[in-house]
Amino acid sequence: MSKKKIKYYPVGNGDTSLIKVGNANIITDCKIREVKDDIYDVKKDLIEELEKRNGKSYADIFILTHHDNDHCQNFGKHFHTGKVSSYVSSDEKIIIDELWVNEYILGDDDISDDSDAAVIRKEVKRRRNLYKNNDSSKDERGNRLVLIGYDDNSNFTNVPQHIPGDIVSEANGVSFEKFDLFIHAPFKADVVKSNAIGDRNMSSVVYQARFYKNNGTDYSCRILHGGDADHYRWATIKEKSEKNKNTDALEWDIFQTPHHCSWTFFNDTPYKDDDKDIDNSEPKQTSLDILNYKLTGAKVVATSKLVVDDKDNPPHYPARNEYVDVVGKTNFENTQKFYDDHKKAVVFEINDYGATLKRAATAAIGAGVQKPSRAG
Amino acid sequence: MEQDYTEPSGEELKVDELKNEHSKQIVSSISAFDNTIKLLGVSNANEHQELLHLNILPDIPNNPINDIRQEENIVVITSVNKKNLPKAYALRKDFPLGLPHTNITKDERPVSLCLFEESFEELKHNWSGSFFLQSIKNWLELTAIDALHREDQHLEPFIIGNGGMIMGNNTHKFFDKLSGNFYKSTDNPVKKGFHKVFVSITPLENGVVHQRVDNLFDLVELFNSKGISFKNFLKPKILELGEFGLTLNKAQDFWEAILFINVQIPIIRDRDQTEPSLISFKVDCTLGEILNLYGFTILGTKNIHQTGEKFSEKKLRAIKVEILNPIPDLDVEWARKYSGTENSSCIDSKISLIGLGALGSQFFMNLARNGFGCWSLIDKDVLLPHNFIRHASTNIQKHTSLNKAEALSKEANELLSDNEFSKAFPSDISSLDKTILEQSDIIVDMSTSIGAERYLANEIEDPRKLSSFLNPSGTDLVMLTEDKEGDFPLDILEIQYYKELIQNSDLVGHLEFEQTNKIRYARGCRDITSKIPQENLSIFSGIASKNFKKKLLSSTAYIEIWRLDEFHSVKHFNFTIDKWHKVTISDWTVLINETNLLNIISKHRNNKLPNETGGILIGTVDTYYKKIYITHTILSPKDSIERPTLFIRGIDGVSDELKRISQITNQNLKYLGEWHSHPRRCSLNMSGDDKIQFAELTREAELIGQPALMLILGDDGEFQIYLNNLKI
Repeated sequence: MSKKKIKYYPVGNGDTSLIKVGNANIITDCKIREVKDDIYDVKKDLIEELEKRNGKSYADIFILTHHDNDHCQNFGKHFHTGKVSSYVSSDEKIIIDELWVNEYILGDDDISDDSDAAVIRKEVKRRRNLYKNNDSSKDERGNRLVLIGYDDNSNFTNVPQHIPGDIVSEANGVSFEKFDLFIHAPFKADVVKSNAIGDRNMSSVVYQARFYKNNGTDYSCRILHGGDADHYRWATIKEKSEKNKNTDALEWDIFQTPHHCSWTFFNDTPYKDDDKDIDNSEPKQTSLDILNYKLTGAKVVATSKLVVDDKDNPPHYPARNEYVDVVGKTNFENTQKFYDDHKKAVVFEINDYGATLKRAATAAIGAGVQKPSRAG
Repeated sequence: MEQDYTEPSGEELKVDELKNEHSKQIVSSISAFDNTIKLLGVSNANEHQELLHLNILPDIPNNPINDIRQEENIVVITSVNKKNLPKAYALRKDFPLGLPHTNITKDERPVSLCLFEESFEELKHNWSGSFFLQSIKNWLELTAIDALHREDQHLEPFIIGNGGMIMGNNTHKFFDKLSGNFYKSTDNPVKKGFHKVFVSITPLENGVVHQRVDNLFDLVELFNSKGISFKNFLKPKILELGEFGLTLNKAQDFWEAILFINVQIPIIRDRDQTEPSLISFKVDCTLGEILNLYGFTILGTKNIHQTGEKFSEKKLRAIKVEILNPIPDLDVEWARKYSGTENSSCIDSKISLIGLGALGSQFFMNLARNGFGCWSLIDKDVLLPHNFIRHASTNIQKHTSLNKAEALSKEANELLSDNEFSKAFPSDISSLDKTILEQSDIIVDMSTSIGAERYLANEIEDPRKLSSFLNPSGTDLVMLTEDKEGDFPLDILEIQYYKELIQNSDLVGHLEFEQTNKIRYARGCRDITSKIPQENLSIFSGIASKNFKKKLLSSTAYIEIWRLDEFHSVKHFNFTIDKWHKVTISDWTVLINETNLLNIISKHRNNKLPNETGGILIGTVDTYYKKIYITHTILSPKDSIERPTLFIRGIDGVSDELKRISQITNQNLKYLGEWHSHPRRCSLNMSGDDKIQFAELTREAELIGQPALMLILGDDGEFQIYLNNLKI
């Protein structure tokens, strides 16, 4: 396995990230656009980063925070669904050993049949049925399914489950090397069909990824990943974590801005509408409190298109300013800006000294060792 | 390296106005760094120097060990002279001080980064603008996590000295000022006296102190800034010295000697590990004065009067301090460490070396530089100008006309600061007290004298002996090594060596020499001075000293030759040692090579039976020690008459073969006499014919002044030797 790292891909407003632990690769969400000028080839990079088994690339875990299109775009094109035995090599798809979803993927009636969300839903059902029927192949890599949060509608009978407050230290029956995940959300109320209708964001999986130092006890880097969770969810996360004395699960070295740097993390939207006499421009204290759990040298990553000073939301410029106030300009990164500057994904290498943002191009010594782009 | 930065007073420049080659290279490389390096501006300081202001985004973790930021402003100063490496300074006002790999500068800021250990001369072949920029980035990134200092590298000294104190023998009480800021301890009482004070303080973090220390006040303040009370660490040492002086009723010069304070500072490598570093401070203050500062006044030389401490800034500032790097003087122990021989067995061997000529002197100095052995050097000759071409001594001015042993012994002893390392005996070996040789562990003969070698073989019993010399043309090195038991003494090995020369065609020309190119000063095959270049001596003295150390570890006898060919590769010959048979007749000893002679003639007899056969005996005679060495034969020539009761040796080819043997061995092997066989079951007594022949041999022997020799060979290798003309 290569170096420990977290990578946030430049996918405009959307999310695709990769966590590389010592012995596992974890993809969270995907938005993989067609490659053309100025569109980063996410798939190519994923294939280079992932391990191969029998010549097939695989991710140990795929976490779908929620099934909005900007979190699962082209899932069907790039990820294998169905039995592993049905894999077609020429498709070069990625096998998902263990798929993590929230309950709403099966509770949402608004998923159109031709969408990627529908592809995922079908795959979830296939895997779910293996558990339901207690099929002996349910524990095999490529069939495994984990429910994050509660199963309010009994859609996930017999499926393994991680609920808020759980610390997950293994996947596929294998313990992570000096790494675990703290599950913050979704909460029960946010995945209940009646509440989630029209807002899949509230069902977002929120987790804290925790790398440990070589001594195995001290944290080396903690990352908060919030999908598209809004300030209400974050207020609950804060309240529950503090109440349960899990404040260490709120501390962060890297914070992925929820909902692509939108204002929803800080308050309701619209931000301000003088005509309607709406003013939500004051950030909620609970959100600021979450940000103040930052650690030394902490960094914020806005996974969005270029953050510019306009009325757009997301990304939202006043939201960006709030983040910059907390971590400083040099510690605020935007996936699109970083790509424009450095032609690569935002990547932090993680070791005992914490997270190091790797801006520089690969040194000359590496020339020739990477697979070149296709020539025609 | 000192580098100084002055705030530029020059003009802002445009990029295309840059003149210095390095400036242009660096600026043109910036774009390759994907926006992690930006050029903020360029200017010139004067007509020689240009300044490049850079904004650099190094990859720094969020919890770095050293406070290097994700964004640093660096100024690079290039010089019009391409041979000067550009300098890099970190401009941030709070950039950390005292980091490893920063240059000492007059002012502490801006911090000067020490990017390269090598000079431009070393780096120029790989130099490029991007190489330089990458080096700055690497410096920042690795310094951030304290990884610039590789694990196998020594830690930074706490403070860098400007000169050195070469500290020799602990008994040295005086010091001498050398050139530059270097001092050396000495036992010469004409020089100034000093006290060496050793202080060990508590561990400090790795990193160089960038503070100037000119006086005792600066020094005390420097340690104060590290939380260390230097005065308190020093006090017991000074008082101890004072009490010592009083107890022994020391005279005035004791109290007036100044202080060299050696401070041992453990530098922390990581949490649990420290690495010692040593720094020396020359404090221009007498023992009496410093005692006075601590509140003790010496009255006369016997009494002490205690008052209060008298430290004041003014007084401390008045005491000049020099920071010196303590440098151990070279001694036997260091010589052994530096040459990696400290764990060699036999390193303390008592060695007598006879002959300090070209080979002997260089052999000796090779081993002296190893700190190897304890030596008695024996040579009666003096150094004359021509000797210096190939002698270990090159000091023609001082050493001409000095005895070779004395000159070399002095040189080695001075080199190692040890008068016991070697002793010189400017004498002929035969006039030397034998006990000197007998008390050695090993005797090395490099005298190139057969006489010396035979003396050792015959007169000195116990220690093992080794003889080594070059052939006349200097292309071959010979080393004859006795076994530890002394079963194969040097003279036996020498005679076998000659025999090997006549039997081994690979060694053709070994003892040959051209008269025009050589000056022969004595009769011995090695008593020749020739036009041998020093390079050959260098090669062979190196082989000799290395092989000598190896031989000390083995107990068997060796005859070895190393031959240098025209392509300068060296071939090694190692010969199996022959067995010898010893017969004593009257006061003569006859040594017969069993392996090479007796076996061959027995076989020859068997082949010729029932006829008699015979041949010529080849070897040498030492009339002084009354020894005859028979080592070779010329078997019955073609024109010999071989009958069952008769053998008359022929002469066909004999003359040529004797000439060949004489030439190859440089006349050291020659005709000795005759052998013949008797029929089966016959006695080994002389027949009537034999008696007639022996009488003829005796007459011939009388003519050439050597014993007459006849050997009669019978069944089962039995033989009888007859000698005559023994009173020669």
